[in-house]
Amino acid sequence: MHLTKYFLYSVSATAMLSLPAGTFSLVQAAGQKAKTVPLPITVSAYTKRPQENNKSVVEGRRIYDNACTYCHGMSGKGDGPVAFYLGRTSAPRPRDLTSGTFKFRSTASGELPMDEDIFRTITRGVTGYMPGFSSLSTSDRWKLVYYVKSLFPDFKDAAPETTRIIGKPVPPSATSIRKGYRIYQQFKCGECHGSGGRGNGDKAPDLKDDWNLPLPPRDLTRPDSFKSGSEPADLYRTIMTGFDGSAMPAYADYFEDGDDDAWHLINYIRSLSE
Amino acid sequence: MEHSNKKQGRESINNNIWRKRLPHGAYALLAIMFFSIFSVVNVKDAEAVPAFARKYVVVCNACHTRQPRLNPYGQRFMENGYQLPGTADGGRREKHLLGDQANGVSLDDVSNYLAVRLRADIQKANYRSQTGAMRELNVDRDAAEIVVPGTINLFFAGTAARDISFFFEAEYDSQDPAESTLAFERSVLMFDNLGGYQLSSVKLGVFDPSSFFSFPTHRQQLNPVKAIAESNEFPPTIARIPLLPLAFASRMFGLTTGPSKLRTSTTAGGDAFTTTEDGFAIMPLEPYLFNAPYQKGISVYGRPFGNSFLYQLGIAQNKTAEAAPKTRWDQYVMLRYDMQGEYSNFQVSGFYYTAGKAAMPTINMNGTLRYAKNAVDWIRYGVGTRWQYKAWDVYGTVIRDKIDAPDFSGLSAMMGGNSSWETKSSGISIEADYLLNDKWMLGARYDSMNAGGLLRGNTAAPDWNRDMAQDASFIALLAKYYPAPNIGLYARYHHNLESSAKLPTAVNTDNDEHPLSNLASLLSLGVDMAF
Repeated sequence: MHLTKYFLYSVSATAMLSLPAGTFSLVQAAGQKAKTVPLPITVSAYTKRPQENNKSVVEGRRIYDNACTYCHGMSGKGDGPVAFYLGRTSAPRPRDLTSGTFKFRSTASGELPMDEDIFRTITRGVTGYMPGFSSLSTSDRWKLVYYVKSLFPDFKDAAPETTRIIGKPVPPSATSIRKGYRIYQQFKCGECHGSGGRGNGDKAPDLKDDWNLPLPPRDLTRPDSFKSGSEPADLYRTIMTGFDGSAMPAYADYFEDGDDDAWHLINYIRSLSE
Repeated sequence: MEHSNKKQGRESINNNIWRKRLPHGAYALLAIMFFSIFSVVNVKDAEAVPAFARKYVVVCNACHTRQPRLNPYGQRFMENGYQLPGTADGGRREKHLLGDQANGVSLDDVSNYLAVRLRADIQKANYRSQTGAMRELNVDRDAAEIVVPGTINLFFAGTAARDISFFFEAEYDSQDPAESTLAFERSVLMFDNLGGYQLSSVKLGVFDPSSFFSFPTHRQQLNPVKAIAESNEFPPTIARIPLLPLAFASRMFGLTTGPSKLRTSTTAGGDAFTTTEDGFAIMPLEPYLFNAPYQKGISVYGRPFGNSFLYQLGIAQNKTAEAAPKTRWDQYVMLRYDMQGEYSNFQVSGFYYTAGKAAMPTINMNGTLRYAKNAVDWIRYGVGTRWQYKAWDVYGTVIRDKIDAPDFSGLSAMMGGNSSWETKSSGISIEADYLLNDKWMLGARYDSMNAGGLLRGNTAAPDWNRDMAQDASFIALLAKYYPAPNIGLYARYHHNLESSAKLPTAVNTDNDEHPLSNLASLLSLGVDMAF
């Protein structure tokens, strides 16, 4: 099984790397060749991570009350006064943070997200629906992560996942794109996303999320609308881990050639908007 | 206040100039064409979104129930100086850093500052009769009209730096030679989060004082329908009253912004004529004082005790209504309490506004204007509430006004010395909007006003002013269709609930209807879009 969760391998190791702001390099596990993948989280995000304790959770609650309750509700159930306008008749509805179901993860489908996943979502937002809160201080965003975790008790017992490293990206090429196209056909991505990737597949009108709200598949020719980001690393995470609570499954267990298949598919998807 | 009153007069005249007449019956065909065109427009995504949605890459509904109404998040975004609630992101969000972090400057793309709003109407008014004022202002009794969107509103809003924000609304009338200049109706600088997050913010410039009130003057689903009137004479010539929340209206008859100075001139042909130098009628249905669309002033507001309680203190600069106008500083305070629940938000607010020497009681005695000895003080106060629950958005306000009793001592009874005045007035406006689904919204509004001001100028005989102060009440129905979140196609209908009332007979040889009762109904089909 090529379950890939491409986040941190070692906070301490990466913090020592000298990187330009806005990127993050991952070092593969010992004995393997180092590979790098751009990630939209700065090194300082990790170095400035505060302690997770009652005090930081209380602080996180204060920040949540000021910034998040309008959509996610006072108790985090996704029932704030604005939630109805955002997700009344179609997804996404603001996340019920007490449910334990999170879409944007680098962990396997069904698992809780890593702290860094929540941090990333808070920082970047969800394209079209949730503004990013990068203007909150790094420390405040981490406190917010801790508070969000406190809303679902299972986070207490969750052991941090050992981060897997993304395989080496396959450079875009005609050959890779052709392979990606075949994978797109093989896994019937077009049934939802359409044969041309425009989100108009035969099943598209019937897709619903776990809350029974219509959830149209993304138009893959419009990367600016990708909820979890349009960078190759974002696509890799989305394809491999899926979106829990939606019709988008995780493909990490299904690719015969593992990472390479994923990268071919990514190259094909990116070619649709070029 | 004079500022807004004069502007109202200008707008009314402009509106009169640029209404285009349609042949009788053509409005129905146009209406069908109008909706047919838009019904075939298949807009799946909001391709064009206003500046803040562009900047933060979020849908319109993040801040609006439906444009232009703000939801609680949009309200807090506005309070926070166009920064995300809980943050002070004005210094860097989506901006380009030019230079280094320490000494550089962060600048936003212009597209993140600029937004445009356009509205266009096809209006069909139904009058009980064609009054003299309508003839004077060339308004037919049963004509349908296209209100040309010749006036374009441009909005420039955003953050110059962290906790320093601005809002400019520029109006340009491309078709009126007299007004073809760029003018800022509202221009505001804001200094936010002084002393700590939400503790206090300062707004400075020309703005709507009621923007934080539970029923703000702006951002109505039923946009105000402008008057067709001229207010630079007394009494004002009103061919068609405006349609707006009557709670906001001045509701006082017989008041001007100051004594008029009539100047007699002579034409080249030797004919004498008079012009009015100063002193405008305060239109009885003009949004006023706290609810004026724009007032020059300073406002301080904040939430020092958490998210529930909002305070606002302000002063507005105007001129007194005296013969020698002086600067007057109106003062106001507004308090609001917010309560959030499951899919709901409830708020209640109250305000108190005081304006010293704000109006000059005036009587027109058969063409001769008579003024009170002193300008009168004006107090306005009211409460408003708003309740949003899922698809419902219900809001209402009750506003009361009080002026000092005018002093006409020294005038003879025939000259109005024994005129009778009502020093109090009140108005109520209640609106309920319901979202059927993402595409359709229904709304209804009830307005009522209990008029005050001049009841009768000369109790000894019929005169120009008798029975001018009429009550009014309207009900309005609205259906709005959104092919995209930023484009609203609407049909609205206003029905006058008041029975027929006549103008005073002394000068009303045509037995004209009172303007408040003459407009029996108005049907309007239009589009309201922002991008």
